[in-house]
Amino acid sequence: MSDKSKHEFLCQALTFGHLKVVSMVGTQPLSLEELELAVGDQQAGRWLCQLLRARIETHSERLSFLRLAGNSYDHRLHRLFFSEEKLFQYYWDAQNFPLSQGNAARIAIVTALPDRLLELAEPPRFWDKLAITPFVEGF
Amino acid sequence: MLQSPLGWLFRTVSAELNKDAGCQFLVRCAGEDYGPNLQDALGDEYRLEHEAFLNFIPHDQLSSPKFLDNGGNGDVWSALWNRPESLEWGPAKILPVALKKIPQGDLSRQMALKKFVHEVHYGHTCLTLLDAIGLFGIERHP
Repeated sequence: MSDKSKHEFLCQALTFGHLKVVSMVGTQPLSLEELELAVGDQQAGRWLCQLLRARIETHSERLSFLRLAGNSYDHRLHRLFFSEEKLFQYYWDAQNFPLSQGNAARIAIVTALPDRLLELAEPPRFWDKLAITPFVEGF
Repeated sequence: MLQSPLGWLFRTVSAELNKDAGCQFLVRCAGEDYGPNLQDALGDEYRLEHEAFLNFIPHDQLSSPKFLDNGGNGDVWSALWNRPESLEWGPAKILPVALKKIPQGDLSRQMALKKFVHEVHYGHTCLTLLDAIGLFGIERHP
């Protein structure tokens, strides 16, 4: 795999995880309806919208949505992805990155911080890795 | 905390079902979308979460059906599944499989479906792997 394709792959795959936004300049609030239009009606989009609606209707989770500034690879975003290694491989094999293309790549879901920060279950060791991962220009 | 949509989705599915279901669903997101077919087959019993653990097999992928038996658990046929290449299953392969019609008995079609879905859902959440009962998926006879 060339360095260029590695870079492109990581740029896309890393949009799956938590986002560390260095600058909020240019971000725009989004309604749920606007988010639904952006993510589309394929499997991942359907799941996302249905789960978001259920959470909002039952008031079980405070959620809001943002459209991030610039393109999805904006240098002001520090993207972190610590999910399943197997999924990385699947997405790489398929060259298919659900919810990370076009408009959907620039959407962020704003959630409350978990009650017990250090016990956040998914992804494993998230807080450890967040603390030790240096900011890298370009990611 | 800011989360990407797919990150939030993965964690939410994992929390509501289990981590295997979260992974399984995201793998399927990279493949063919059979959600509408599953919805059509299950009718009122369809729930979004079924897409995480219930695979839909198009009827035209099954060939050479042979009636085997009519027992207390419903009619059973043997057939060949022309399984296409996919991320979920790997390279294309022709597999001998058993087809079992959802037994209706004295139940209405809807109640029979409800019973079937409950059993599969229970099997998934308790056993975590449908492999344990060898269920590849469901199809709807045209």
